[in-house]
Amino acid sequence: MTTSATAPYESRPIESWGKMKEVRRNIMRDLWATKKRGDILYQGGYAAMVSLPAGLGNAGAFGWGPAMASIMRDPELARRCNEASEAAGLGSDCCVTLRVNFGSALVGIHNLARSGERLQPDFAWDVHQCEAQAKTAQYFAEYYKVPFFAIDIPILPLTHDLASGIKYVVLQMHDFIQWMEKITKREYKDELLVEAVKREWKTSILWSKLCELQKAVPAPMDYRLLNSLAALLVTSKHREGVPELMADLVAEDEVRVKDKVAAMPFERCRLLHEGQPPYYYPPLLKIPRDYGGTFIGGRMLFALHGAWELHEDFSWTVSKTPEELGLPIKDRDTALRALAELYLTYGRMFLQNLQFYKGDEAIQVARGWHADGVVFHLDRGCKGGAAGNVKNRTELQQAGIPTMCYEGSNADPRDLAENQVVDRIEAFLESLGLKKIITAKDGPDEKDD
Amino acid sequence: MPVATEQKVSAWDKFREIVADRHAYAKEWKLRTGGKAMGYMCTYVAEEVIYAAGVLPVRIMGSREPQDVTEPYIYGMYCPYCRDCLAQGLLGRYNYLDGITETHTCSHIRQAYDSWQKFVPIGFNHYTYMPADVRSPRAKDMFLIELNQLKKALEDWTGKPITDAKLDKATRAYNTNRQLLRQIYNLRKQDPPPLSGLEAMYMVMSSFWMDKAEHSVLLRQALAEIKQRPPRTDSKLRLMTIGSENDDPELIELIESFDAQVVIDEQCTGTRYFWNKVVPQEDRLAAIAQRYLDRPPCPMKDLQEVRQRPKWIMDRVKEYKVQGAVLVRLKFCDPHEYDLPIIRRTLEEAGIPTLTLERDIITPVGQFKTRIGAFMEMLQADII
Ligand code: SF4
Ligand code: SF4
Repeated sequence: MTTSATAPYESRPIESWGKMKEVRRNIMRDLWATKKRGDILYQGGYAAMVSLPAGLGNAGAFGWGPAMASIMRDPELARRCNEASEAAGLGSDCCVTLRVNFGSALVGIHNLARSGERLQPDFAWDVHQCEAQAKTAQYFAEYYKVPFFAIDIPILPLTHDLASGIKYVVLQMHDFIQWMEKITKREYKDELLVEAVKREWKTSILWSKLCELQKAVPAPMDYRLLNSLAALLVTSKHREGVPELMADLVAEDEVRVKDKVAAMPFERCRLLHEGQPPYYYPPLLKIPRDYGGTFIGGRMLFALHGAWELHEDFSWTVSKTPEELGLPIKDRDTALRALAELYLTYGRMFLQNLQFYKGDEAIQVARGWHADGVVFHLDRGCKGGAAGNVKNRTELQQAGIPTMCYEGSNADPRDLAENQVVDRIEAFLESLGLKKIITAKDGPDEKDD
Repeated sequence: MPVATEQKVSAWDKFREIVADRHAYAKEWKLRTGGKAMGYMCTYVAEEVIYAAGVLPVRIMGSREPQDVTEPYIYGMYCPYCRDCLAQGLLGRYNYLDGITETHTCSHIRQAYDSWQKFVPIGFNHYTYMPADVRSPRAKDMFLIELNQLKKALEDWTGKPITDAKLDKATRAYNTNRQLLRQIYNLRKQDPPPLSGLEAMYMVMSSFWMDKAEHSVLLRQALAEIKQRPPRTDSKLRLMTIGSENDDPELIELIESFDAQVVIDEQCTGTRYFWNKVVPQEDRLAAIAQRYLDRPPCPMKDLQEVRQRPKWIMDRVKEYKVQGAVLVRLKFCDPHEYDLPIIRRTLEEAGIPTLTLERDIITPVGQFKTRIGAFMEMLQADII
């Protein structure tokens, strides 16, 4: 059933989005030029503590695979990559980020420059929080026959001795720096680390601010925009130009909130999406639009790059700055300490692996962000991210928050029954009392993400 | 009457009986001693500390029956073993436990623990962080802090201090048990080995539920009984089982129903559980911590540039003259999925043929029979 309606909110493109794209383009260009410049290129270093190799100079970070975005634009290629990994013995239900990227190596497109050259990394490293994370770097180290280093993240309940966890991570970081110096035979410059850590902290706080602005009704951005930005931050939070970009986005969003400029002209229903979305199937995040609804974010998305202060009731507020928190960033020691604090004390991503508080946090996020419902992605390809989701769903329902689950995978199109999932989300929206609407179509930045 | 003094029943029958009726022993132990029992799931839990508190560590395992009680808590794409474990709690099968504890391990089993401590009423629960990179020089201090916290939590709960003398006694009990298990495992190097893989599995698994001091009495009895066995002359194919949680005797029985014998394993219901001992140090907890860091690692704990598991497995292959390996993967068990291709490659490059079996909590006997049969034929043809 459909009904026609007039848009209640003004909706216009994000002006700084052009800058976002420019920053992204420059960073990508710079990464691909790493080897030509004679700088160090590494695999891994994904989403956390990305400043650590900065002391080596302008090191290039290829994450788990620089071709991920183009693979996700081509579901057939994504299928092929996943199948290649499985043919090499990886199970079809293990971490899909590993499968798809490792598969891209097996089909010959991993680290493949436009010139046709395969760029050989100098080493592989990662932090280890879920069972897959550093294992992925280990796979690439073995594949490229390069050295490998893991930084183990202690997953500690709030009642445990967090200071010892911080110390544990800091000591491993010191070891990592010495290891990098040894294997690259480069001098590690602490002043570069200091600057990078300052930027990583700034970016994280600004990410939290941007997410917090999503509490406004109507929300100034939607999930898709935040998610494209998140993809840029995965390897680049510490790079020059990124905190500046984030500051511009926050400033613009503040004006949008004040002026009630919305991401979508309708916001009859505010939804959270939990878990990574199926990257190869962008229409999924747009389904609520036909009902005048919007995905405004999600606990995992907000947690991913944020610096949050956790309160006793499990609600979050944007963290203070390192200076305000008494964490000066002056030299190697203080920089490493501040970096460890950023992820262990103020990051909500690592600690979600503990699961104990994930449900309580999900309830607080749903309430704090005025969500009308939560959609859980039971992601076969991300056991870490999806852990506890079924239980969290039960907890949210008990708290009176409507929820639904769909099964799929963030990077393996074979795991998503598209039509079925569309039907289920539509049924969920209808259960929230919404009807399809006929509108002058769509919100901003349709082609921008 | 304590199990230890029952002389008429063969130790091997007793092991089997304990596994089959796993809750009976702990219930009887509690009545007899007035002590508390503590459930745990992963074999990285430092049992010595619990035992030193006068508490009986009891491993929580599944019952390998279909169930649907875990649906509101754990999604079906997580390993069926972790769901089966949680089901036991939700169904009240472990309701004699006074507490539960768990250590940092895969997210599958941590979900079972998380839901258990929230939704199954229990007097005590405590989680211990156990480093993932066990060979990192930084791991020991971190783990030690966590073990001290476990010790303190147990002391607060029982109201009794865990003294060095108690830790020594517990360590001795565990070390003796491990040494006896090793001694019996060593006998499997013989050709033919004097005990079957199935017997070995019952022997190790029964120790999950028994007071180690009492289990050691049974192990000594088992050793004596082995010596009385008439010598065998039938030489069979020598196999190793490797991989995920496998608590299903039926699978081993099936493998051994062919002309083959499992002579060694790399599993949590076998070597990974008991292989190495605590080497005494002045700081008792540090010694215990070191033991868990040094034990044969599970894939969750093998994060070094040179992986530890392939070498450990190859050392056993040589010692036990293994001719073929059965790689057992539990459905959805990603920790083992990550290691499997490398382990398979290592074995095959060394000329050891492998068979990979993906199992659910229930072994699909018919399907596996055909595959194992074909593998055996191939192995036999290779040897001839
Ligand atoms: S969090 Fe998910 S995607 Fe990330 S490494 Fe773990 S399983 Fe893979
Ligand atoms: S079988 Fe695998 S996934 Fe399951 S609990 Fe064990 S290690 Fe974890």
